[in-house]
Amino acid sequence: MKWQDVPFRKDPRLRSKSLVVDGHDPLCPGSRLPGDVMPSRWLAIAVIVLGCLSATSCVHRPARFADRPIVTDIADDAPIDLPRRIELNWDWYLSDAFLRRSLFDALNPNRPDDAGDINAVDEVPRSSWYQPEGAELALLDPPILQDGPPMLPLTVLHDSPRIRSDGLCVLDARNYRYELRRDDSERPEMRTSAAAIASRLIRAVGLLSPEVHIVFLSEQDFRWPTEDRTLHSSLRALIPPAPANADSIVRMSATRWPVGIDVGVTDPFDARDDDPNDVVPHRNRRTMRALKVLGAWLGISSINPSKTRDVYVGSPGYGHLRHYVVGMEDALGAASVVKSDKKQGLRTDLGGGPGFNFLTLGLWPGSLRPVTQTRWLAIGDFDENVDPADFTTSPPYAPMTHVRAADGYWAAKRIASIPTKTIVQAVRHARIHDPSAEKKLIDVLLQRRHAVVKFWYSQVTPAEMVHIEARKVTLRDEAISRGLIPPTSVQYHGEIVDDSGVVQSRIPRFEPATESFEIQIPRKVAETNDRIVLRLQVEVDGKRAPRVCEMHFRPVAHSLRLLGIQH
Amino acid sequence: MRASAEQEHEARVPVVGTPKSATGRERETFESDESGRTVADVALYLPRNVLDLLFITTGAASGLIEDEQVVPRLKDTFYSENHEIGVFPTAFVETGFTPNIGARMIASIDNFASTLRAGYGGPDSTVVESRIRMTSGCRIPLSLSIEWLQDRRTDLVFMGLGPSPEQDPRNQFRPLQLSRNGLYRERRQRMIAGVGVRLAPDWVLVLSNGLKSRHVDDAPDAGSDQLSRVFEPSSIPGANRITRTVYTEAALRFDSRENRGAPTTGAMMEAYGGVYNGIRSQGASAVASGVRWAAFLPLYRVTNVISPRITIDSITPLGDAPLPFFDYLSAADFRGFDGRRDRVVMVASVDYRWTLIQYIAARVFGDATNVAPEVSSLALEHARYAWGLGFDLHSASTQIGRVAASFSQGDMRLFLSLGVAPSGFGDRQHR
Repeated sequence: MKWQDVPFRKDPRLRSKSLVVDGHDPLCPGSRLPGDVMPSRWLAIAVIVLGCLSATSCVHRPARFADRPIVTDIADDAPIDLPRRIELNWDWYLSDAFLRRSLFDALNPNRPDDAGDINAVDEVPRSSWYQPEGAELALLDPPILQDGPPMLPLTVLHDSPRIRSDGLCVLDARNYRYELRRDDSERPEMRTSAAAIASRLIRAVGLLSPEVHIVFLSEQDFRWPTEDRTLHSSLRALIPPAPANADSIVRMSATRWPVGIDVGVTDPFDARDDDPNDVVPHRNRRTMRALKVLGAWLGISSINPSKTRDVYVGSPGYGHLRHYVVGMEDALGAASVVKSDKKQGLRTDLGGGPGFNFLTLGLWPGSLRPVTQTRWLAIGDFDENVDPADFTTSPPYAPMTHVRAADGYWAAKRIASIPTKTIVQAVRHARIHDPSAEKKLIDVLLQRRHAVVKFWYSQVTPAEMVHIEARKVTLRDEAISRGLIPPTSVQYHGEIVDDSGVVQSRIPRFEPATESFEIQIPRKVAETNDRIVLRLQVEVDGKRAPRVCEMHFRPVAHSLRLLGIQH
Repeated sequence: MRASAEQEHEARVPVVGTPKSATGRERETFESDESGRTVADVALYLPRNVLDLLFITTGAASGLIEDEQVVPRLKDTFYSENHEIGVFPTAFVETGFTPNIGARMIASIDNFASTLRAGYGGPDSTVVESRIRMTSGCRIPLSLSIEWLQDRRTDLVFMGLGPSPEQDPRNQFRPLQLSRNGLYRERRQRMIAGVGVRLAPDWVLVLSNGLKSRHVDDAPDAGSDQLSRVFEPSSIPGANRITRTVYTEAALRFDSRENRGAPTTGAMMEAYGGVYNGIRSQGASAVASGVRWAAFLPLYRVTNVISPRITIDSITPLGDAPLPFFDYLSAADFRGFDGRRDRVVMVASVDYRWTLIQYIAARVFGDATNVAPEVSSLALEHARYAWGLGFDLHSASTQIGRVAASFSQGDMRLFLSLGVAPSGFGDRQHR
């Protein structure tokens, strides 16, 4: 009997009232709906599925690394045609980030992919995205191998600024293009300092960031080829008219941009389809995921696609793209300044998180967000209190939502490796006139760095390879090494597995006396396996790290060759 | 030490790899919970990708392009090489209706934008529409638009005139007919030309002229619910013939809100007057007029805004020719279900919007509506009510998307819109 032949079945209410039980309809004995499956068949399918799941659920099979030299440089600078320019359509981006991507991710049970721009030892090789060497050059004064501040006189250009909508584009005496921006009158030195400091620190991490210099300019430093009213008004907005018999000197940030041909924003999700060098989806780039860690450290509350831009360097047809982090005027809490908790008698805060706000109709008093300090106007809403775990942005930024513990750990390592004197130098380059503000900024940056690095180190087993001697592997605990935790609070345990994940030997719990410790690989294990994986897990004060560190080796002669590391 | 020295040497010599081979992995890790995730992944594959596809083809294309927005990612895929002309697939699926597929073309060059769309969902569900818009940013900002539409829709409902159609003597239901909802088919052709001028920062004057041709007859597959089987044919003027009307309107709008995105304080007002002129001798003529008013008041926080609104629309027939039944007004701004029509319609509502996080606001609302033959006879008796809640996605300047559900007398209505919000006022020409 076809179900269409049974009129009452067309009424969905009948079905919803459970008249059909286990495939049998009590009102029509013996009938069966198409698609209804015998309970025993369901049971069989369930048993098979559960059987498969249980058979594989306890299995951990390590990755396999190729036995070849560790890549240190990625050749992503092959000549390409000039790509098209992509600019951010903010309305589209909001609907994409909030609706499409959020819904898609909510229906995706898979973990975010491992980063795709790393090498076998869990480091990011040098590429058009990441250039660790030369970062210190940005901090020399006078700058070396850099263009430095603009040389006078400056020619005002018709162009619109690329990095942000505000500002003025100029050509300096060498025909180098700069974008000039000034501070808000209410917070002098804040935005310009933030741009100068954050861009240097981002560069110190190894990511690319444009040069930002603090300059002091007057109207006499500018020239324009024609008497253009629009240009005059733009310049007038930047430099107010000087009082009689006096020069009006204005402090500005001069951003050297673009350093090639600006081809627009870096897509936060996918790779460019017109750049053959760009094959890793951007959401899977560790260099972009690292912005979650950098953002927490540097107080960048507005990370979005406008903060990353691509530049074509070289002659059209012979050049390639380089990828920059830009627009750091928002950093160091400059975009989060709370001027007043009341506006015309109304509260200016939101009251709480989105769920709480929804339930309370936005009417719950909650705790007021404190008004930003006014002791140091050059510093924004930027203090030592930071929560690296909860640091996020609105709208959600895909590389940050895809970040994995190993990505955060890598970024934290890079931040931790910046010498303190480099941070001090970066702040000094901002030329803040108040020494106490300078000191405060340095203190806050160091304290936030400590908090951010400590958090991300705690998300993995922070063991690093020091060297291999015969079958003895010397490792270093990065957290102890950086003084984040005492050795006495640390215990390690682990196992050695073969290529398919079968345990070959267990490593009993031990306390490393210092930051470095040694592990001897048993001879039998080394001789009977062509690949072995050392799996270590740290416990700090009795709490296990969420991630195990894996070191992959190939036994060769009487020694071991390192094939790969995973944190 | 030898191995260590070798490694140090290797570390000093750059090893160049390709972007694809740098990770050195021949096989990825298989985690212990991978099986469960794989099963869930397979189960969710279809809904996940259908949702993604629907968003791309339907939401983004129809929503954003509806308002002449340029969509970068789609633009990359479907646009011509110079990025000025693009073609997008569209798909609409609605419960109870056949799927409608089609295509839309958009051209955008400087201050000129044009769209052409076509869709097919069966012989009685077709649409072809073209819009041209030009804007000028000179001293007095203005926009010019020309539109043409031809469509064919079926299963449209006519419930009769008056606040209580069953008791209204103007409705003549056929004897022995249990149904009180007549279903009809409509074939429309429409041309609209409009000009909008911003006279002052908060004031806009809109002049528009529309020519509309309609052919209304019974819905083919409606059986006993067909319009002419529910109502006596003599009581439904305009049915089973072609009516052609010219509607000319002048509307003055005031909107003092800083933007139409986030909850913002201010006020809106609109007054309009228009004339329907029937073409040919049997065509009916009428005068339309109406006012709309809304206030946006802060509540406790600057991000909480409560807004009472009221709209009153009226149409007054001129001459002896009866007004076609479909030209009687219905409560277009009412967010529940109400298909009643009459010469006067009023909708009163209260919306409360509050910001949840940056760019997302929640909304609760309540609507009340009624229709009447005259303004003086508007009453609460037979009024219909609806309430609802939803979420708005907005940018700094405008509304981008909205998801809402409204409930009225046992019915639920879902709203999903993507794209820049319309003006926020009633739109007579496109009804």
